[in-house]
Amino acid sequence: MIRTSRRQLLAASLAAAAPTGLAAPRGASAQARPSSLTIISHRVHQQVLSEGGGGDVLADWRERNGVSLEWVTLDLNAIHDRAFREARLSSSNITMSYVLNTRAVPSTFAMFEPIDEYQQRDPIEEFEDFSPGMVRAYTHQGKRYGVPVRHSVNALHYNEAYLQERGLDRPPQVIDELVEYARKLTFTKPDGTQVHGWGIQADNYSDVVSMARAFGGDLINENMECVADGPGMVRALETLREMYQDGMMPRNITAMKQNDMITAIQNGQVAMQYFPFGRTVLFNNPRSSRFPGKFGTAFCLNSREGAARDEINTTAEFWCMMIPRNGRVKDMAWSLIKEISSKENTIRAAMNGNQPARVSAYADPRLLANVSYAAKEAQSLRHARVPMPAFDRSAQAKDIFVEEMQAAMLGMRSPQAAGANMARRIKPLLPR
Amino acid sequence: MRRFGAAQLLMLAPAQALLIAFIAIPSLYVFWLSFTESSYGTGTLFVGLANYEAIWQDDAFWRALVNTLLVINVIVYGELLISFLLAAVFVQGIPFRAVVLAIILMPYAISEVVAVAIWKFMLDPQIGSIARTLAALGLPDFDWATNPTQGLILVCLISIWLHLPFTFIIIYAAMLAVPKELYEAAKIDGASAAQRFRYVTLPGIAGAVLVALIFRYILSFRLFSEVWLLTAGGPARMTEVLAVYLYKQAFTYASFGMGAATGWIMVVVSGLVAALYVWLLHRQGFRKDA
Repeated sequence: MIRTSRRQLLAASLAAAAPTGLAAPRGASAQARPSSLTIISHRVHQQVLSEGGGGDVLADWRERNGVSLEWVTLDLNAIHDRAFREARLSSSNITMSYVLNTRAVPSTFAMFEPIDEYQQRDPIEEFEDFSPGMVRAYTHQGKRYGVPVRHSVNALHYNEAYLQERGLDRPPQVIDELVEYARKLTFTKPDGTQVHGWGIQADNYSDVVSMARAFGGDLINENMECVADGPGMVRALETLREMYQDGMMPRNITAMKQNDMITAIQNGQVAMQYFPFGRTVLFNNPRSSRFPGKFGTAFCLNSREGAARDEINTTAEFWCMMIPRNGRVKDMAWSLIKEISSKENTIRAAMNGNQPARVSAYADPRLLANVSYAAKEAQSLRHARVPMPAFDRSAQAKDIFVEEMQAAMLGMRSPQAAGANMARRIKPLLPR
Repeated sequence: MRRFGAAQLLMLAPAQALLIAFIAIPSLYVFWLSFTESSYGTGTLFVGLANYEAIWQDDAFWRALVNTLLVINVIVYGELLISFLLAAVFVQGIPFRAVVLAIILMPYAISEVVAVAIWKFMLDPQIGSIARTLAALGLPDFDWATNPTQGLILVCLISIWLHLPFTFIIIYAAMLAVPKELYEAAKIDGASAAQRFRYVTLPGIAGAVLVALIFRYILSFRLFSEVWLLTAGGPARMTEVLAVYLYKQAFTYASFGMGAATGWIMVVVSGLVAALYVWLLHRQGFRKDA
């Protein structure tokens, strides 16, 4: 029998551990170059980098780096919930997250890596080409936290076949024409289909805020003041109420999600609605639309005075790419962001349906030749404003707005009372 | 008499450890969280009873509580009544019993998400088969999307349809277990059908009914999918129930303290309801057996 003392055992353990210790850097190095990177995003972010006329934008980068990309694609709320929950852990497998401008608030920045040092070390070409407003939205205390990658500027989408059928030779241009147009476009087809002249996303604020701005009002202005009790918002709520009560909007609109609205437009149940420019591809798609090629885009409605001054009243939200502070392969994340953000890849993604965050993209002849709405979109982008500025409690403000707006639309409250309630309830949520 | 010593305790330990690890400790953590202000990217700040105060003053919470209590009472007693009727028919014997039984049990095998999506589609005012049939028959519209009362009625209907098999199978099994001799004796004594039901069937199945009620009350209190997928609490938050209120606080507003406080309020309220039924169960059945 071999007798082993405690000292011998300790020495043997240390000797055994030594090669492991030597091997550790190799292990760490292996971890630094994983075989796959995980990205949290919406499905559309993955799609515009992989499918369409621009081809597979990241194929070369994947091959050069010997990695695959694992896309975790989720809905709007779920993206941020998952990204932020992962970012709170001590370490995470998430390499990069897409974050919407409404979530770009100080508490979010605390969980993500400032990008300035990366940009200094390994710069993205012509960073100043990115829309300055978008870059500013992701800047906090002088540090930049994200690289803008996509925006969604709204346009008025209309069914040209219905316009012709109802004797209208152009879409409405100013807000005063909205009710008249919506009324004319509300009718029952011979096959029994009820067509509604106007649709909104009734579980969101963007469309109604745009209407309120056309009437000279707003929800929260650029000075972070809630002005929902002003005449512009009240007028927008009155208009909505009139259109709903007179059947110009679908009866079950409060239960319709974004996809339900898209289907209703494709099926010819809704004649006009605000959506981002890029959605025209879906509305005109022969595989899913009953009116392929019949949908047009126009600028969102403005006041008569604004239109006379050639101003465009539209809203836009935008996305940027951010690196979680607890990420394990931040250099790889930066390399990926740099690749997606290059001028060439921005054009290729745009040809796949992305709305580019680089201003110069709209001057590219390939984009202008391939994307019918590119010029109009570029013009809108110059005037676009976010429907609501970002602040920590913006999700609650959104819910209050939707609640009061629906109550006014369905006749549960007067528009004046709904506007006053919005202001009273949202003001305490705003940063002081 | 059996001895309960260290060996028995040791054998129980794994189960107890699992309960402590997965129920007791997280519950205590959530309880502590309910006294804090906490969100993504921020530290945790102790705020005492501020979350409970905020909930107390929130109209949306009271509306959600009232909606929840209304809906669960309709669901639980609706299921109970229908289950009684169905079970009473079944114990008499019906043709194709196995096939009919399978049809009644079928909704329990369907995912809630799928079920709600199908009902929503069938009741779509433009293209839904039920909505169009109602219109063709000249019946009034079922405005579940914009009329909160009708929205909650639809939530009750879907929930009863989905969960009826649970209550039905318990009551049917209990009815089958009532000894036939008791009915024969009651018949010989001249009891009418109603009297036989009152004095033989009801006492015989009372324990099972209370068990079904406790389970359904507690499960219904967590009602979420039906409301979230159908109306998302709208229009104007008028059909919100407590679980939807909790979800919004915790995951839409990222206010974990408020979410935790709402969760504990739900535990206390459903615990009180369950305690009442457990006490009745003890009085009516288990005490006699003890």
